[in-house]
Formats: sequence, C-alpha cells, structure tokens
Amino acid sequence: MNLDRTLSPTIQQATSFTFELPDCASYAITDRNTLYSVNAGTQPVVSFEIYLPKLLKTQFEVVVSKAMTGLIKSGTSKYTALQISEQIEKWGASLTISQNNDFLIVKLQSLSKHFAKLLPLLFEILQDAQYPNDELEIYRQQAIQGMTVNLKKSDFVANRTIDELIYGFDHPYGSYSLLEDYNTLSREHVVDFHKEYVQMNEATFFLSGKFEEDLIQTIKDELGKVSFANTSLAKAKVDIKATAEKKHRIINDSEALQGAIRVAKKFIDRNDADFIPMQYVNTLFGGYFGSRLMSNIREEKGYTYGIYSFVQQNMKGNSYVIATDVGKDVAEKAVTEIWNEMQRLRTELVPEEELQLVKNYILGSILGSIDGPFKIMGRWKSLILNGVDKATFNNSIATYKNITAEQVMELANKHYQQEDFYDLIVF
Amino acid sequence: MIQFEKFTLDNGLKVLFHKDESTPMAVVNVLYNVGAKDENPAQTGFAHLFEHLMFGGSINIESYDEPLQKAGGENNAYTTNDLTNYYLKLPKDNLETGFWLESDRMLSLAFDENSLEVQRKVVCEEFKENYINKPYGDVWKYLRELCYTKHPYQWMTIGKELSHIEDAQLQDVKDFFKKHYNPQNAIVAVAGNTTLDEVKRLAKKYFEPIPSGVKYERNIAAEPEQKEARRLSVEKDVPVSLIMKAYHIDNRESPHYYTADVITEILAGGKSARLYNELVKDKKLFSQVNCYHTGSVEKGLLVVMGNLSNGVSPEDGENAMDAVVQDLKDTGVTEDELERVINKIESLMTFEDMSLINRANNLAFYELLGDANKLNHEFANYQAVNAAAVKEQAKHIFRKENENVLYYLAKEK
Repeated sequence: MNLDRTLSPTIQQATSFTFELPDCASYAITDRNTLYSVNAGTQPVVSFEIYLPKLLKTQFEVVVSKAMTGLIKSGTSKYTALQISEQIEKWGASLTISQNNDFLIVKLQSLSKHFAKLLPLLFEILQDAQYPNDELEIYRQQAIQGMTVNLKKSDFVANRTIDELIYGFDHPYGSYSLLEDYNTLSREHVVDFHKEYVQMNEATFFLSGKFEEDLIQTIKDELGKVSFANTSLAKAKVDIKATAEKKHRIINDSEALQGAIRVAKKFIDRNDADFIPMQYVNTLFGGYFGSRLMSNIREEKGYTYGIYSFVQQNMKGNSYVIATDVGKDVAEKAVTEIWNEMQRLRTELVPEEELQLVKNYILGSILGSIDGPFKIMGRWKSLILNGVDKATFNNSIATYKNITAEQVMELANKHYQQEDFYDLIVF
Repeated sequence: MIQFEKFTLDNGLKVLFHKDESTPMAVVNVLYNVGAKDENPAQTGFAHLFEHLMFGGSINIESYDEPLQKAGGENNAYTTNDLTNYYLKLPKDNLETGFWLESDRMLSLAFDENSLEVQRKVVCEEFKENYINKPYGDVWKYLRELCYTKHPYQWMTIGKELSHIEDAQLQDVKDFFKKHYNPQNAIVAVAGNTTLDEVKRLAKKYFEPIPSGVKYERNIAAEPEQKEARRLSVEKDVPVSLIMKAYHIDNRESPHYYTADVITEILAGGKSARLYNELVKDKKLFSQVNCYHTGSVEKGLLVVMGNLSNGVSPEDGENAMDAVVQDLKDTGVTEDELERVINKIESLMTFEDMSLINRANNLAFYELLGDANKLNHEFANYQAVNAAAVKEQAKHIFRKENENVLYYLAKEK
C-alpha cells in the first residue's frame, strides 16, 4: 500500500488528555516557614532553593542588591572566597544567588550523593557573609565594565526604559542602576542590605530531585541550627507613577542597524478573572513560534529574527510586553503591524482551526512542563508563592480546553486597545 | 548509562531508540551530517540558512509548524560548523506526527521562492542582531580567520558576510538539499515513552520509502600545521579591550581531546580555577578571564581570553596570561584539582541527562562520531586523564608556534 504523505496521522487532541500535577510534600520548619519537596525523576540530582522576599525601597538598593548577590560567596569569618569556591566546586556542585523583581533566590544544586556535605557551608554563607573590601573592588570594576557594554545595546536600554515608563523610576520595578551608583557603593551598604533581606524567618524552601527521604530530616536538622530572627522587612513604596506620554523614540547608538521595540502596558493581576484566559490569548497573539505576531512580522515580512509577547509576572503589579529587535528601516512598519494584529483580534473571530491548534500547543507544553522533578517544582513554586493551590492549576487546564473564539474577541477588546500601550523604540 | 537500541533501514538510514517510561513525552531528533565546514567558501552561511528553509514547508506538507503545534509539540534546530540538528518533542500519543513531518522534509522540501526570500531576510536580521549590532559580535570572525588558513572552520556558521546570504538562489538551495539531505547522511534518534516495535513500525512506514540518495563524501582541505605565532590587533568602538589567545587542539576522537577539556577546567572552571585567582583576584590585570574550547569534531581551538582592566596594557595582560599557562606546563596539576574537574564533569553529565531532548541529541551526536555507545564511555574517558597527561598536553598545546593572538582593543576617545 502506498503511503499518502499529504494526509496527517490521526492525532490525539491535547484537549482530551488528563493533566495530573504530581503532588508536592510540605514540612513545617517553624510556624511561618515551610519546606516543599518533590522527589521524582530518574537522575540522582538535587536542587535546593531558598526564596527570600525582596521588594526594594530605594533606587540605590538596585545596585546594592546586585552587589550582594554577586559577592555573597566571597568570604565568611571562617573561609576566604577561594576556600568557598573550592569546597563547592570540589563536589561538582553549584551555588547561585539570583534575583527577580520580588525575590532573592538562593539555589544549591549537586549530585544527590554529595548534597548533605554542602549544607553547612550554605548556611554559613547565608549567616556570615563578610563582603571583603578587596572583593568588592573587583566586583565594582567588573560591574562598571559590564554596564558600559550593556548601555551600548539597544535591547538593554529598551528593557529598562519600558519598565520606567510603566511603573515610574521610584517604583521597585521601574527603577534601575546608574553607572555612578557603582562609585558610591560601599561595603557597609552591602552588609546592611544582607542583614535586612537575608532573614530565614521570611524564607520559603523548595527541594526537588531524586534523593533518599532522610535528606528531608538532614535539612530540617541544619535549619534547626539557623537563627530565625523575628524581624519583618520594612515596607517598600509600590505606588505606580506611570508616564503620561505613550510614544517614545530614543537614539542610543546612531550607528545601530536595528531598533529595539517594546510595546507594553500595566497588566491585570493574577486574581483577575481574565488572567488565565489571557494567557491563552497571549499565546495565540505572540507567545509561541506560530503566533500571529511571529507569522506576520517574521515569517511573512522578514522584519525580524523573532518577536514575542509575554506577561511579566510580579507580586505587586504585572505588565504585558511585546518585544522585538528589527531592522532600523522597518521599525516603524513593524510597530504598525503590531497595532494591526491587535485590531484583527478585536474585530475578527479566530478561526476554529487556529483556536484548537493553540489549545493543543499550550496543553502539550504544559504536559512537557510537568515532566521531571525540577519542572514539577517550577509549577508548584508559582502556585505556592502566589498563595494558591492545585485547583488553580486544574482550573487553568479547564480554561485552556474550553475557551471560545467569542471569548477571545471579547478579551482582545478589553486588553488590546492601542491607546493603553506604551510604544517605545530604542535605536 | 543511557540504554538504547539501534537498527538500520534498507535505505541506509540509522535509527536509535532510547526508552524512558517515566515521561509523558517523546522526542524525535534528526541529525544531518552537514555543517558550515561543508560550504563553498564563496557561499558561506548556507548550512544555517538551509536550517531556516527546512521550516518553510515540505513536498507534501505545506506547513511544518502548524501540524506539530496541533499535535501539542514543539521543535527547534541548530547548525554548527560540523552538523545540523533538528529536534521535536510532543506528547507520546502523537509520536506518529513527528515521523510524518520529519520524513517528508527528508524526502523533499517545497522549494518555494517566497519562503527563500523571507528566510534570507530573517537570517540577515539574525546576522545583524548577533554579529554586527552587538558589541564584540565579530570577535570570532577575526579569530577564526587568523587560526585557519585553509580549513573551512575559518568562517562562522552565520557566514563570512551578509552578501553570501543575500545572494542565495533557489537552484543553490536545491543542489544543497540533494547533496546533503538524504537517508545516508542522516541519523534519527527517538526517545521517550514508547516501544521499540512502535519505533520500527513508524520508521519503516515513513522513512524507509525515501530514496537513499548519494552518500556525500567529505573532502575538506586539512589545516596545515601552524609553524609560527600569528597576531592581529583591531580597534573597535567598544568600551573594554579583550585579549584572545587561540591554540589548535586535537580532534573530537583523540584521547587528547579529553585532556584539553580538562585543561580548560583547570584554568577557568569556576572561581577556584587558576586564571581567575591569578589575574583577576591577585594581580587585578583583568576584570574577567575565561578558557574554553570549540568542541569541534575536527581539529578545534582552545582559547584563553580576558577583559583587560582599565589602564592595563594588552602586552602586560598577555604576559601575565602566559605566566599562568607556563606554570601549568612547568608544574602540572595537583590531585585535588583533577578530582574537582572530574567531579564537575560527572555532575554536568548527570544534570544534562535529565532532559529527554539532550539524551536524544547526544545519542545522535555520538553515532555521528561512529558509535552511539561512545556516549556511555564518555565519563571513563575523562577519568583516564591523569596529571602526567595534563602536563604533557599543556606543553604540546601552549607552544609559541601554535599560538594565535587577537587584541580586540577599545578605540581611544
């Protein structure tokens, strides 16, 4: 029998799949701190993360928080920076401290067989980091060099400018570091910042990987030795002072071949009824490779290597961003096409086939995202930190399965109005 | 240990299967034995441009992405100087869609003029975004041209210049496809929650009817052994000056490859490594240093590089770099250093294997090197590296006449 290659094989619609988010165990550490754990998978590895709330109170703290995360491993009373690195690297482990708008994130990863050996060092660093001056000087020079390079990049400038437009420069999400801040930075700033923000009584703990169950007890024992001082973080100001003028054109480098486009606005909160269905609409609009924006602006017109839209999720105010880097001569045309695609979604019903395709795409990627302990924990983290439970996950699945073309159009009319968006190009 | 099965179809296509019952997904990885090194020097960037065209529809299927997304799948691809690799991941129940899509584009592309036109533009934007617009985007262009006089590793996968991509014609595309994209030049690796019988059934149904084509015989000019040091200095509108020193190393199949890899870790694998402590921490001549190698199948490069601190002359910086390297040649490594590197490699490999896509990618890659099972001996190859080998290879690699030095300097304002 000859194979007819024009016929696609029968597919199982992802809307018919069942989605079971594997359970996450929880253990009380104190009356306000919890350790969450997912023990699954095939590889003997462990990832241990500590989330510490971080909502900056001043613009200057932006630079201090960066220095703190960059320097936390550079010495304690007992160990030098080199000794710390040697102890971590000796076991092929990695310890990183990163941050997003809302949290400092401490992450220790290693093979399961070596993990327990590393815990005392981790807590020693968190409680006794010394931030020696000579390390700070090295950091200062690296940071100034790095920022000087970044300031030449139009996408870097565009990313910070769009946040400033949406939130205002005084808001923790709209603020950014200035070159001169690095000159002002002193050891005392960093030490004080550490004291204030690295407090275990504010921490949430996440453990994932494949490990012996007694590791939970080992971690509890180590945490038992740690001080959980009962102080609270001072409150940050989170009043949004948005810029009135919506359209901005900035020349950052007159010889640049491309312009960095950011079209963005303040977005609804997670508990808004539109939030989950808008995740669907966003995927269709600019959230995957076959999206409306990508099909038009990359695949049809060849203006760009890529264009994406996404919800920037924060605890105190989300934003919605469309981002792309495009050839200088077509930048304005690309912005016009973004408006055109918004209008199409507002005025034309999404064809049934596309509606189903996006459902299958989203559900397929969710299926892939509950595969393996780190990814399962990733799902749980976003539920736990937002104070919701598995029902929210199950609701989102139901929403994606059942959304209609009429709903999409209605949502587009609420959330894709051109006049609500900032329109920024940095050349 | 990555368990796998292997079989060959009548048309010469090799198929590998790795079973993982813990996942709800399946992966199809198709590796074509063609990279930028197979390009005509007057038409560089072609292998990579071609990778883009592979998404522009095939002979019987108008769109590649749409049916895949409909099946809940995702895909991506990459081109290196050595190979082009395509992979997709989708819910296991829809594995057949993956076979259907990948086999049709191995059979033939649609060769659509409009798709070529658009992808030419997209690749030109990619070229600008990453290699022209970006500070330091052309560092590797200079370095490759300095290091390779004959071998096609002398250009980057994106191509030597924009015009090579702008001038690409449909006939060139067709010829390239015929020469490189056929079952004899490809390896398929399937991984996930399915059975060997099912993979065999699907492979026979979709891939076996594809004509085997002509096996491409690679005939690449060998790079003559470098006889004297080379230097190049360029001034650019960048804020920070760089020094890069590149050395030729052995090919992927040589035991010396593993030793070279270990050397890069000794010199720059983390903050306990030598370059950082000597040059950044103690002497403060550099703000950042690194050492890595290109991981090439044929004879690649090992690079020692650093960002100069303000006010430090490149000559002083280079001398200090040389002193660190000289110390490695003279005194070799300690057992502690070796243990650290081996532990790190074990850890890296284990973490990498968490991803189903990585397992499929790796099986196909090692099969390209001659035998997928080499993947399972990789760690032993590293364990076999001892202190004597490190010292001997350091002496061999860091010879003056094997050196290519690039000063990439910030223009005085």
